[in-house]
Amino acid sequence: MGQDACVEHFLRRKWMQQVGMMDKLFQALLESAPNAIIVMDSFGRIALVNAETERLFGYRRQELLGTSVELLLPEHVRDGHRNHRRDYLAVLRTRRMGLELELHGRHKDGSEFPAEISISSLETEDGPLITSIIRDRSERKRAVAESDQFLVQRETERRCLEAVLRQMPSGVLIADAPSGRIILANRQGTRLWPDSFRHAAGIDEYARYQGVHTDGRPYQSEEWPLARSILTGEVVVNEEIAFQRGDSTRGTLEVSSVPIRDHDGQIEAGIMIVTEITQRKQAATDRIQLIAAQEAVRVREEFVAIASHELRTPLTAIKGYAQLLAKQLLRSGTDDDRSIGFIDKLQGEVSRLEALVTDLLDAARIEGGRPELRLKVIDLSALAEHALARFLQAPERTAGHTLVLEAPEPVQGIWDPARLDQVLTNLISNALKYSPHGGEVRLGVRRRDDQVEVVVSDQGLGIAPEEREQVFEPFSRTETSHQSRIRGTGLGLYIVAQLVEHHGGTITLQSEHGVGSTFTIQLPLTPPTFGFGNVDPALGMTSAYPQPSGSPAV
Amino acid sequence: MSPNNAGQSLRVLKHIFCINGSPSFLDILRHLLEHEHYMVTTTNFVPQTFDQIAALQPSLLIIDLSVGQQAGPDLLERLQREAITRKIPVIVVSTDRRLLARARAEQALYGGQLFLAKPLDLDNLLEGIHALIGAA
Repeated sequence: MGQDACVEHFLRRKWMQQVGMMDKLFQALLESAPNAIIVMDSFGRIALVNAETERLFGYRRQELLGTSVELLLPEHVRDGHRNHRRDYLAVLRTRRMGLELELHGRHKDGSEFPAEISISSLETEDGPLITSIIRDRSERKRAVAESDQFLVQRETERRCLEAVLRQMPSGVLIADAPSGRIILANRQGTRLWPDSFRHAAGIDEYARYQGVHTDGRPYQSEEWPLARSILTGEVVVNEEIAFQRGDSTRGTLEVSSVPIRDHDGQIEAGIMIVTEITQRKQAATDRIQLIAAQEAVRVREEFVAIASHELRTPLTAIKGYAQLLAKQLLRSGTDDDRSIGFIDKLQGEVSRLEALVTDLLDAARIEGGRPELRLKVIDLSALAEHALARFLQAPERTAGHTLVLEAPEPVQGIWDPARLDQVLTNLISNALKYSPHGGEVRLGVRRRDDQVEVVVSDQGLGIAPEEREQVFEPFSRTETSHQSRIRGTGLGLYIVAQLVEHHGGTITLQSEHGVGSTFTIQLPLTPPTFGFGNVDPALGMTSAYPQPSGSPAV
Repeated sequence: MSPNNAGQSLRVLKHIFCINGSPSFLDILRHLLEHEHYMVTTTNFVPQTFDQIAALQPSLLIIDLSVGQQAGPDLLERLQREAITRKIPVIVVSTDRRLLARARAEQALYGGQLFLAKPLDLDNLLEGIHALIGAA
């Protein structure tokens, strides 16, 4: 072989190798193509298919090769297709089929599927070959259908939302963030405020919604829940806001608001839901007032029931002793001592009834409302000394007791002297009564800043812890008083507490069973409702009572 | 008087057991009834009251119902429920008319033969006692 022949042989081999490689590459491309590729001859007989054709139509390759391409079409279009194919061969051109038309392929199992088909032709020595590239449109059609359905669904949702917004009893305002511009308001939202207000262009216009705080301060723009949600992300739940309508009438709103955030967490809008609760609030107020009225009636009925019992008890005794006395006097050989005993008991019961009636009238007056205070400028230290002196003049009540006054300096204030005298007298009387074995009874008056502190203490029986809460209730008698047979109306401390309260003061009790009790009163120097018109002008700033000596009275 | 005679005279002495009531009311009952030669015991409601009554078997009970005290109705109910005390006649007194009316309305539950509102007339009371247990 000559050199040229060798070179030619080499080049031929090389070329042959390249052709082989190209063929393999073409085969691989054909088989891996995502679309079905069918090559047919001019008679419509299938000459070549790829793997995707097998998958798409469900036939094995051997079943297809040599068969008419119409096998792969629905039966009702096969005749039409043959005609089309003949027309196409008459004018060979490359075109896409099915772009405009709904073309269908037929699976081996008889099912049909939408398809997009492109065809091209290639002239060969054996005549024209027609290549079809077929793409299954099922997925795409499904995607389009889903997209359409999604749009329909969105539209339905939008209509539902609109209907909800339109029908819901609450007003809904949606504002853009961070501007606060109102971008949507439903009918109820617009009804609450005059038309111009709902078109706030920014947060600084929210003040025009005319909200009012409970203390009467107007809501500043940035105080509105919607502004807070937009500016700070605050979630506001059921905030009550009084507001003024366009016609100047007032109502109450219950307002909630939330921020709406985007994917990055940035606030992009705020929603405020507004419900007018004026009627509901009024109903609640009415209900509370009704309950309070019913409770007042119940308390009054209970008061009357207990008062009746308390009044009938000495009355029963008076009637009984009077009848016993009458029987005694009618008998022959009257026993004078026995009669005198009945008369003493009668007098005792009458005194008890008298005290009870006085206390009951006082209590009823207090129950009926605020007792009228006859305010004067007085010295409470002097008043205390005066009250204690009265007890010193009744030795039968103070036998065995030591009375001590601790009032080192005058304490002037504006009070009702008669009422405070009643308070002190009741407390001293109690202290004496509940220390039946004697001991020290101390009365202290001392100024503490703008208040005066009055302390009454004894070394008597004391009050059990579980009874301390009740001693200021009407008709409360402690178990100790029952056991010790100490008489009382059960109204004294109630009246004291009420009078102290009406002077704007407080009363507290410290007590230890068997050791004694201490009552402490804190009184403002001037009652809270004090007006100068109440002061007796004749008294001016002078005390109605003599100045205290400051030394203990014994 | 021989012990035997004394025993006989004690047996015939009618015993009236008075429960609750103010000290003055109990004092009045004692004066009134002792003068009529009844034997009188006065007491307050205590947990042992029922047992005392069951043991002593008095001729008559006078029970004072007080406002707000459940012990009175409870005792009445038990006296009526237990066979040992059911036959003892009871006079119920109270300052509370409603309480009395309730007790009277539910006599099957609470028992009681006579209901008197306080302040009561002593002659009415004596009349009632005589009607229930006779003179001493």
